[in-house]
Amino acid sequence: MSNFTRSTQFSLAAGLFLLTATAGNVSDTVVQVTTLTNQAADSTINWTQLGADQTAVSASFGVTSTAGLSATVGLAATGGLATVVCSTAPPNATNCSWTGTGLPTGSEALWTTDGANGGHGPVTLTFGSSIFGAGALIQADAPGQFTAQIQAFNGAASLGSFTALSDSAGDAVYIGLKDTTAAHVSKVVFSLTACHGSCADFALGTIQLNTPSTTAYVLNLAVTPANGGTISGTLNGAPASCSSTCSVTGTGSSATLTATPAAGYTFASWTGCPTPSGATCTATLSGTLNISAAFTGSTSLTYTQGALVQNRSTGIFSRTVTVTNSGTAIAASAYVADGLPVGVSMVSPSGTTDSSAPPSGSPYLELGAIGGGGSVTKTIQFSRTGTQAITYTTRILGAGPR
Amino acid sequence: MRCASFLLLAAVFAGPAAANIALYSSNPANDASNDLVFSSGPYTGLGDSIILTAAGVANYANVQFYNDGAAGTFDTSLTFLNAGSPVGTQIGSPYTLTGLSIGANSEVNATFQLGTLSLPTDVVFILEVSNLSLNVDPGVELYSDPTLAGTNTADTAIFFQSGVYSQQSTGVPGSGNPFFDLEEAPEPSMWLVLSAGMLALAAAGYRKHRRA
Repeated sequence: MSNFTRSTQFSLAAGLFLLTATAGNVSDTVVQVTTLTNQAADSTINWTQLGADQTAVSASFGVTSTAGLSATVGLAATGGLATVVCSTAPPNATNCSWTGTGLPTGSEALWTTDGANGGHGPVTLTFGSSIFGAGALIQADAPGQFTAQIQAFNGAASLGSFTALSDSAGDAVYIGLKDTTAAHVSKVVFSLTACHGSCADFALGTIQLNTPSTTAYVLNLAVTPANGGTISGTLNGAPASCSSTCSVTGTGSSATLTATPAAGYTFASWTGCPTPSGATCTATLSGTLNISAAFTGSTSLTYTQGALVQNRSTGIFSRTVTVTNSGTAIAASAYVADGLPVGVSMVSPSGTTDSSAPPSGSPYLELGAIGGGGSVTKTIQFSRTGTQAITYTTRILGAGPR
Repeated sequence: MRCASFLLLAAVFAGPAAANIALYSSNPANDASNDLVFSSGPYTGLGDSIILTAAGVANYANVQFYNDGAAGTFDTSLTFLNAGSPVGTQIGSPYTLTGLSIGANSEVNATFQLGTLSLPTDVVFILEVSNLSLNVDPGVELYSDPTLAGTNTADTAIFFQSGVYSQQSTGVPGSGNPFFDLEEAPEPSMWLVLSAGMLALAAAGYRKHRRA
């Protein structure tokens, strides 16, 4: 462990960092994060929980995040210190042992041991449960340019690694990553891969974490018309697929949805989508979100009807009705009998009246969904109190279930 | 023996109707328990498009009505047309029956005397009713296929409504076609030949009896 105290003072704005990434060996997409802002952490691991400045830590110890996530920290060797970062070099600095530029004044850091690997680490954080991402400010202990590295693992499988090159003065640089596929990061490893000064160890600032939310977010999906297409995608890992009305609950707040039309339909529009882009919808949930996708297709409904045939035993008159859809898209249709004479009533189906109007209140026969080029044949029945003609005006409804 | 021969001849002459040739005949055993009621459409005419066993001369037509109303009387007419889409030109003049009596919720058979009406193989018949007494509500009864003679398009009927003829489905399979029976009586010359033959047989039998 070096007692070297950094004295370089450089602007926080300095720094063009060379960032490189190595592809992981799993299918997750992992991206590098280069700023604290972009990390957008929801919790942190603060090193002050280890004790006062210069508290010695062992080669392996446990920590807990502000959100209660447990993690085990592994150092390359014993001799690490918890430290407080000072804004100025001694003698003005008090109760702090690291004064590197780029680390926030008064923040805490984990000061790694000099031992093993030339003091280049690694520092390994193994999480109690997998997370989306992590990152931290990192700085070598000697002035001069250095290269830092972060690696992510899902168990033993590598998810990818990234490096960040500091400025020539060796100011602290932020290095982090995010798994945009799912919360599969179970371990991250920080290290230095190159150090151009006489550095013998490095400091790791507050660990920034992107953890799976424990909040259940609800995504209510609707397809109009039903079966006109499908909404599919994920709500932070929870699969969502819907062809009519569905409710998807996930613990993540990020949703990416795709609208795919059924045969004979084309995608028309999103409703309720915060960020629509063609047939794709992205959304960040802060609670329940209702999103629907509208599809359009051509429908053309015609009907034929048979004769009124009386059953001599019951006196009931029956008539077959055939509705044909010569369009391309599904039509949810119904046969409506408007203006039945007094004394004549539809007895089968009974108790079903159309309110689409005008005229409202007419009895109707639900024919259900008829696919493009398809037809449906059903039977309706009437009764009469005398010798009335069973006459009425036929109306075919072609949109939406009733 | 002489007695038996004369009984045979008597039976031959007494039963011309039973010996008629059916050009088209619904099967009386296949009553579908359905009917087409004139008032329900309302339908001016009800009938069917049928195919006879052969083109020929029709002498009799039997039809069957059902009354969905009170007992009473009515008149009826029968018209033949050539088949078309669904009908063609009319054949001859309508035949009428007047004052047919029918009970409440009952059926009645009626026979039209057609004289010697020449008909093609494909023909349409249409029945109409008129002069209904109060609350009489007649309809034509439906019988399901197969027919005893001739053929039809199963489970359909011809409707004459608002001046337009149409062929419509009567419903699910087995719902039936209007009952109709069309018969051709044998020519009188045929009866003469048959009678002469029978007399010769009888005489021969008598002589044989005498020699014995």
